[in-house]
Parts: sequence; C-alpha cells; structure tokens
Amino acid sequence: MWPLAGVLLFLQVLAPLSAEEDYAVLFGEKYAEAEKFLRQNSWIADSLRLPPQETRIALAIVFPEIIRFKALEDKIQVRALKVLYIQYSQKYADFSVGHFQMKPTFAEKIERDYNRLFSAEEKTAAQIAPFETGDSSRLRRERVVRLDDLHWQARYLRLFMMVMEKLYEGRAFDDDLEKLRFYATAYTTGYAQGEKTIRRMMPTRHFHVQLLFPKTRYSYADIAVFYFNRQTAPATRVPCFARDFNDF
Amino acid sequence: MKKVTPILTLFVFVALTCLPAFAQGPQPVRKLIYSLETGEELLQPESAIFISATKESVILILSKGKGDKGPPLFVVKNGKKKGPFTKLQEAMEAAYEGEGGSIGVFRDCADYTPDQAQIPPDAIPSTEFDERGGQTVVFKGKTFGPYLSVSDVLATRDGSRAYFMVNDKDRLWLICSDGRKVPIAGSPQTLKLSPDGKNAIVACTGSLSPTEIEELAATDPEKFNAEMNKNYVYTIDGKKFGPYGMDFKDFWFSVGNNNFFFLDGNQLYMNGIPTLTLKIEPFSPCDFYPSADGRKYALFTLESLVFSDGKKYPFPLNIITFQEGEQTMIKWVALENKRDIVVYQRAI
Repeated sequence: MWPLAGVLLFLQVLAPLSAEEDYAVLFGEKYAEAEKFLRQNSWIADSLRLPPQETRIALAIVFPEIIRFKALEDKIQVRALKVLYIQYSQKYADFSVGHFQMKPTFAEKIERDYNRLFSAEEKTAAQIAPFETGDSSRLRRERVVRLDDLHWQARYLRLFMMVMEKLYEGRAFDDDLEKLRFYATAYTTGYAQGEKTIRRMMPTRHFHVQLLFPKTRYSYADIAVFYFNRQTAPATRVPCFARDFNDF
Repeated sequence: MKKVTPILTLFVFVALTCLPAFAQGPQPVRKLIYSLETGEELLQPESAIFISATKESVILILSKGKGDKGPPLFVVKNGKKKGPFTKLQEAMEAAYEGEGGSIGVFRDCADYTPDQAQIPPDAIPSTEFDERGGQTVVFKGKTFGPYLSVSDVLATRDGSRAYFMVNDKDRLWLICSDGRKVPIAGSPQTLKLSPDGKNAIVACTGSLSPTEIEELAATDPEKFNAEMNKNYVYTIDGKKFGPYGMDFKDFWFSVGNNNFFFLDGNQLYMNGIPTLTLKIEPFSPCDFYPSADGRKYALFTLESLVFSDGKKYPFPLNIITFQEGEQTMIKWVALENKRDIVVYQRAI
C-alpha cells in the first residue's frame, strides 16, 4: 500500500499541474490564508487517521471551503439560522458553518450513515461512538455545537471519508485525481445523490467566494485538484496578491 | 390604630405586588411585526437570512411560491409590505434604502468590529514600504512614518480616523491619525476600536521592548515565561491597566455603547474598573450584551436570551442594543408559532 502511494506521489510530482486556472493567483490572499490555516493546524491531518495519500485527498476536499470561509468570516453570521434550525429543524437547515462550511443536513446524513453502515466492531475501532438518533431540539442544538467546533468538523470529515469508502467501495477510479474530483464534488453537492449525479456535477461551476451576487463561479473539484497538485508538486509558483479580492 | 391599618394593608399589598416584579426584572414589550402567509418564508440564500432590527424598525425579506426567475420576493419594513421583486438586489435596495446598506443583516455579534469593507473609499488606509526598508501608513493623503514595521491598520467605520501600531526604533506605539500617540510594550494582540471611533485599545503580553523580549527568551527562559504570563491593556488616551495573569481572556468594545471590557478569570472589567463576576463557560464576547454601567447583562445562548436578573426568553434571532437615557435597551426578533415575527424590547 505505502510503496504504491509513494510511486503515485512521485508520478504526481513529475506531472504538470492539470488545472488550467491558477487558483492561488485568482484567490490571492485568501488562498494563502487557507494554506496557512492548514499548515498551522497540522493536527487536523493527524486527527483524520488516514493513510498519507488519503489524508491529502481529504484536506484537498475541504480546501475550497476554507478559502470561502476565510473570504467571508468577518461578514457572514449564521447565528439566526442556527437558532431557527434548533427551533424548527429541517426547514431552516440549509446553511454552512465553520472552516469546512458544513451544513446541519450534511452532519445529519453523516451521523445516520455512520450509525447504519458500520458495525459495532468498526465503530469501536474508529473510536467514535454511534450518534443518538431522533430529531429533538436538544439533539439539533448538540449538532450545532459540534459543527461550531473545529475538532468536530475534522471528525465529520473523517466520517465523510469513511462513509464514502463504504458507499463507493469497489468503484474504479483512474487515479487519485479522479477520486478526488469525485469525492470533492460529492462533498459540495451532497454525497447521497448517487454516482451518476455526482459524476455529472463534477465539471460544473457553482463555487464562489462572494456573500451574494457572485460575478464568477468556479469548479469546486478543479480547485481541490489544484491544491492537491500543489501540495504534491514542488513549489514552482509564488502566489500573487496583486488582484483585488473584491474584483471577482 | 384604626387609621393605620388600611395604610399598612395598602403598603403590604403594594409591596407584595411590586417586589416580585422587581426581582424578575422589567417585562419586555412584545409586538407582532408580521405573520407569514401560507407559502411565505424568510429568505435565506447562501447561509444568510434577511431579518434585521434597527432601533426604529424591523426589516424582513421574504420569498413566496415559485416564479420563472425564482420565487417572488417581498420586503416588510416599518410594518408595510412591498413587492413582489424578482431580483434580490432590488429587494435589498427597497429594504435597506436609507439604512446604510445592508445594516445588521449579516454581522450579528455583541463585540464591535468596524467592517473595513464599508469604509468610504477615500478613507481606506494603506501601508507602503519606504525605500530605506521601513514602512509608512498613508491615510487620507497624509503619510505617517517611516517606521521599522507597522501592524493592524484600521479605519473607523465613518472613515474619520485610522489607528495603527508601529515599531519605531525598538519602541512600540499605538497611534491615531488625529495626532494621539501612546507608548505600548510587549507583544500586542489585535487592535480594537470603539463604535464611535474615538477610542482604541490593545492588550499586550509582557512589558518589554521587542529586543528585550528576544534577549530574555535566549538568556533566561524561566524569566521570559514569567514575563509573557503578564497581560496589560492600553488605551489610545494613555491609560494602562494590569498586569493581569494567565487567566486574562479577552478584551473588546461592546456594540450599542462605547465602553470597553475585558475579562480576567471570572472578573469582568468595564473601562478598567471591576464590575461583575461572571460564571459563563465557554464565554464569547460575541454573545455578551452588557448594560452601559457594566452591572447587568443579557447573554445569547443558542436557545435563549438569558438576563442577569434570571429572566430567559426563547430563540432570539436578531439582537440589537441601544441607549435610552440611562438605560441600555435590548431589542430582539423571534419567530413564534412558525409564522409570527415578533419583536421584544426591554432594559438590560
């Protein structure tokens, strides 16, 4: 397993960056801040408890969301939406929280699938207890508190990787980049939509870093792949901060 | 005796009637703003929701049903409903016209931060590198410096002043563009500005100069650690508070008034004076609404607004505070019975 991962890593180092856009330039300072965030919080990578290449894939999956969070953290406040979700549940569950921009609906689904797909032995091995089921105000509040906690966001990311492995076990991916594209698209559009829909969504451009009224949208998977390649390729480019971030 | 009895009875009656009311604190005034019609929803695109309270009004943007270009949008402002609008931008213009842009829509927090994106374009400060390797600050055509380094350049919301911290020949300074300049020391944290822009504070760890810090770290780590466990708070008017120990937690300006607060362990200080002992864990200044005298407060929790007099009100959505004479008023919006938009107001 590890020698193969090493060979793949070596091949990726040799390979040119596949993404056409230079997202480090496009997102400028916010891209750099997102990179710095992951560097300064290296415990996140450790806490995923995944093999090295899977860890890189997992971090690349959430990287675009960290850019978005860094761009909007001073502006966006979801306090009222958290209150409405706790008070009234599903109708007000469509909002994103924290660095990995996770939605309550995503957490609900991950919790249900973790409970359903993993045996008691697997849960013991994962050292994550099953989640309490039901839909009460107390449980929703606990979920919101978890989503506000970066340690729990990292745990949800780990659970996402585990659930994806279970759901799409045996799917052949051409390479790690294709797997990353598939997983990143599943993360941002909803992993329960099924393989066909996720594959159809892979090239679509929905991602943006404006609060409202985006002028330009980008492919989420492309940004994830770009970050992944830069992490595995030698540093050949220096991010340019010349562009005004508000221009996009 | 016969004459005294009715007076005494009246006194006891009044006392029994009023005392519980005092013990429970003031009752909030409740007002129904709007009842959502069937199919009508509070608009919530892109993790935002359009409920905003100002001192005078509550503004809502709603969506209803379906349309070719998305659901029709409506604005409720000052009790009047406008619309339909097909574009969010049009609805926002109708909603926040004369309200200073997207006032109160997004940032919903009790500690004050001047949104640097809202500053008038001619008052955006910049830092530039000097040809001799130093840094300058440029604000409204005036250049400050050069200094060895500059950090935390912030303009006030109205663009009238800029504040920044500099290292000038191994001495640290907190500087305002209006001419105020005070020495600070140690390792400064983030600069905080008051809502009216007239005051600024910074908390610093330790009281040595940058070179002294470096030298002490290299020569006497134990002394260095002891030094770096001390915290001080400086104001732009030259006041210095401290030292406070390792339990020093946070410092901030509160929205709704221009007092600054800091928390050392459980002790809350207002403008440097101890006011309250708090037992709130975890504590976030974002959720803490103090009265202007610093003796009372309201605390946002995810399921209620809790007052220091023990009163609790469920599910507050949007909270603002403002001064009314001697009293700090707090106003909040709630969605009741899944359809009633209600506003409450009381003194903290």
